[in-house]
Amino acid sequence: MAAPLLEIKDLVTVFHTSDGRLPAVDGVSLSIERGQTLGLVGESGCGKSVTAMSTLRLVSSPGRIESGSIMFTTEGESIDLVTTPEKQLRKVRGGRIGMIFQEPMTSLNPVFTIGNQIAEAVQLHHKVSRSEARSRALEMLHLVRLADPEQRLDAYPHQLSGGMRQRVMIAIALACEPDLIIADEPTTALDVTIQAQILELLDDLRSRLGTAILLITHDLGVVAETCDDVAVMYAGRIVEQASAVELFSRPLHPYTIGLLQARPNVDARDSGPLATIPGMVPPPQDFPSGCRFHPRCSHAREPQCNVEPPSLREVSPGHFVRCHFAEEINS
Amino acid sequence: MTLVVITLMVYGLARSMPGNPLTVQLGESDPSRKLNPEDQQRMLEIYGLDKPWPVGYVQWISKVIQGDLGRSITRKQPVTQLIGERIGPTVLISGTALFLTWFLAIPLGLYASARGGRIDERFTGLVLYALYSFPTFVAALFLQIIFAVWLRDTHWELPLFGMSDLSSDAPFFARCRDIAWHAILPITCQTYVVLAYNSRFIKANLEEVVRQDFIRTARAKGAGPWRVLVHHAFRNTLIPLVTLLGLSLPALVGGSVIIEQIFTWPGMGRLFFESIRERDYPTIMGLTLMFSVLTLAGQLLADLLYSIVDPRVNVE
Amino acid sequence: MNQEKMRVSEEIEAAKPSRGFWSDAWQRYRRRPIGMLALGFVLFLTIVAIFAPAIAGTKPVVCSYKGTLYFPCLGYFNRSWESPIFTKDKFRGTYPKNLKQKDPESWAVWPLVFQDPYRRVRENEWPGRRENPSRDEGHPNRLNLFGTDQYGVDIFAKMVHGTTIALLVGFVSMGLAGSIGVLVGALGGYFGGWVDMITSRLTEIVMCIPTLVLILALIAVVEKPTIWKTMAIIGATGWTGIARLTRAEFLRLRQTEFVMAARATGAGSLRIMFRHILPNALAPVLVPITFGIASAILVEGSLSFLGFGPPPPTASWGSVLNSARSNLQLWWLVVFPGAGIFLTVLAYNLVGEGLQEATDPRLREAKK
Repeated sequence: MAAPLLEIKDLVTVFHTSDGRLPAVDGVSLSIERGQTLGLVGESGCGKSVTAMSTLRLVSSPGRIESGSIMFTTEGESIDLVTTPEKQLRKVRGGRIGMIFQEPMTSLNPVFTIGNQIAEAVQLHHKVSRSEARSRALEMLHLVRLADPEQRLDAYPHQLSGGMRQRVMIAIALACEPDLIIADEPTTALDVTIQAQILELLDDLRSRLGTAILLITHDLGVVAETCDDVAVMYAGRIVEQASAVELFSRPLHPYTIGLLQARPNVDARDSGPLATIPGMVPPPQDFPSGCRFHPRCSHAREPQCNVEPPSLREVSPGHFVRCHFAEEINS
Repeated sequence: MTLVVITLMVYGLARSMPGNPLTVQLGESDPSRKLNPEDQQRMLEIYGLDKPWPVGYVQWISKVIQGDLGRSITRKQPVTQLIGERIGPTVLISGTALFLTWFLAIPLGLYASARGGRIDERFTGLVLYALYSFPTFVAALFLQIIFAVWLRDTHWELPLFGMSDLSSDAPFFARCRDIAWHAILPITCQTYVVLAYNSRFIKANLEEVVRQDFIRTARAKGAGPWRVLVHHAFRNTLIPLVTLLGLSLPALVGGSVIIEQIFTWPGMGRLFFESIRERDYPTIMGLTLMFSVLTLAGQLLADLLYSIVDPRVNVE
Repeated sequence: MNQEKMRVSEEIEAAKPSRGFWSDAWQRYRRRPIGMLALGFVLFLTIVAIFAPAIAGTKPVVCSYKGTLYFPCLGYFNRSWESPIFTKDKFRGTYPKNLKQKDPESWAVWPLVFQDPYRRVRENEWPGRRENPSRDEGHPNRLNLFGTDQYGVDIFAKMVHGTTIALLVGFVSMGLAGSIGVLVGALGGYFGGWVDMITSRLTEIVMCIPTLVLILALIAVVEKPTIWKTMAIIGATGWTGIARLTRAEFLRLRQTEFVMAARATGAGSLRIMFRHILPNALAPVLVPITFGIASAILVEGSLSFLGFGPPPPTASWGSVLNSARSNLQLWWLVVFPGAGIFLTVLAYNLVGEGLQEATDPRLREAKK
């Protein structure tokens, strides 16, 4: 079987702060195949953004990748993004892996035009003339369905709305036809209607260009609509991983179950109070011992759950869970 | 409008100063050359000094609008001519200092930001900080001691005073070199403080800009660290930098007063100093007008440059 | 059972006392060693300034004369604080001999260094000591730690007493500038409208005039420049930056909820401004005030240096530098006061910067 496009193995990314060594990503393993969409879900603070940043070594100080490997395989070659020298990595950044960030309002340089910024993405990786880069930029604006592309080329970011800026970000990410796009909460900062448009765009681009997508989000609805596979993250670790279909029909980890139950149901009338998971996501300096979810878990059993950290086990083909009692809970 | 108020204030202040040019002169010259009372009165009339100062002010303003800045009382020359003579030397020092400051501050700032936190950067940072706190006149004295006293009669000696020791019919290049030689110390004194401040400012600003999200985007595109700094970050730093440039003009003016006094450099700063001492009102007013105009011009320049450099701002 | 555990831990969290703003800032300030060093230096200077007459002087710190205790050294601060009995008994400023002569029972505690900042110490004034050298022989020696100036006046004494002047200049002028600036800025920022327009124009105008020009002009107007008038002038010209900052802060805070709440309880404008807004706006304003102290000391130094300062015999560091101008071969006239001004300005700048880092909310966010 061919190697997956991206394979993250036991990634550990820590932050050295005045509170000590904080492992924001604590042994995460993921893999994405060509043309596939993987959704990485979790609440704020669980470490999913840091995972995304780690892929391209964009974690800001005082964060550092401590151990693990991230194998990226393209054109028959595999490189480890964690250890590859900076020069090589820069070729991958933007060239083979594109990235979209959460805040479109501040992710574009305010003093350069849109066209300039997209063209730069091209020129950083291919030796093309300015006019060639510019026409490619125009092409990309058409691709992301931005209205009035010719005029927008010479517009400045502050002249565009949030949704439009996000489209520009997508255009930048796609400019060099990358194999993978990492989208870190691309729609969180946008209005709901715009959200739908952007997601549709992403999906459309994926089917047309065959680009793989690592979609990071806290919104389960988004995942259900667009992703082939899903990984659920909690407190720096993956707690459940399966195909989207499987996860939504048969969630096994208590956290996933809780998340799914917590969604407000438009159809149900008089369904009583909203179900919630009691407590809050623990910050890295206060990670509980044993299973990190146990203080909030209604199925937790002493002494195992608060002493022994469970490992990620394949409970059924392609379905992984990090829980001691997964089978029992769901029988 | 602001100009009017400023000049009004200064004129009022100047006229309120005890004594007038005649008393100062008379005090200094010997009694045998005293003017008789009629001549005194006539002189007062000519210069409008016999009338109360608001009237004197109106007289002055009306002349100014016609382009006439009056005659200097003590030097008997038109003020415009006086200023014209002195403006060259001042520009030589202050202009060169200004140019040098910006020319050197930008690379220094970039370098400091790129090597942030490392030993060599911290060391230069400390040195720059010390320089910034080092008073110009103390530095001037130090330099004078080193270059004019200790290194006397050596190849490195630099002249202490004045602009030039050669007469005006000496060969051109020799004179140029002589002037340049005299100018080294004053220029150094004018430059180093502003240089220290500006490069620190650039560094601090760059560090702040680099924390912005769009820098992350640039790196995600595959841009190298140098391009990120010089192309993406610096272009954004230019915005506050440009305002700083406009606002630094008044400081340069103020600094030149002290420096020119210490080095007996025949520039506008020294002229201003002397005219206050001599109570030479027309000159004082003329110079104040110039200084204020320069300051306002500097602010205007800053605003203009700002609107050019920042695309978010509309030119008005 | 887990629910109970959750609740208990939440309660414990809530019971931890939250640190106040100032103690928080102090914690942050303490972390920078250079900032602490600078603060230490400033404190050292303050002590020197306060105890100047006890450190260097020719008047006893405390003496017992004819049965009563006196503190003649206070005469350095104010002529009238030196008891009139010494003039009556014709001491003429020479204490060592006269005390013993006029009252054999007297005793005195002398300052650490027997030198005077205003005059040359004469031959045998202190038994067994020669008079102060002058000019080229006045280089630093055992009796004159920093040397003497061209008239034979001890530089060390001048430096010590000059510290008092320098710090006074800094605090008084900045006190004045701070008061004016805060008042102008607060009025403009809080009331807005035409009040703001007037105050802003005013600030702009004063800012436009090159400071040195204004100061020189003002000094020339004032007939007899004393150190106090100089301080007042420096204060009266240095408030613009503070005013701008205060105005910005007041504008910002005016919109906050707690101000609206205060209004809702019927508090009058003045009360709101001073009791509610000002304490919050104070932190960022302290920074330019600290820098202003450094700048005021610099300005006073340059004024004295140019000859515009308070007339002799006031001992300010700048005036020593002034005498250095015509006596460049006496390097100690430049080195010591120069170092003094430099270190003081540096220290205040460092303190100001440390203060800025400790109280800036944006920097706080980044360090989280």
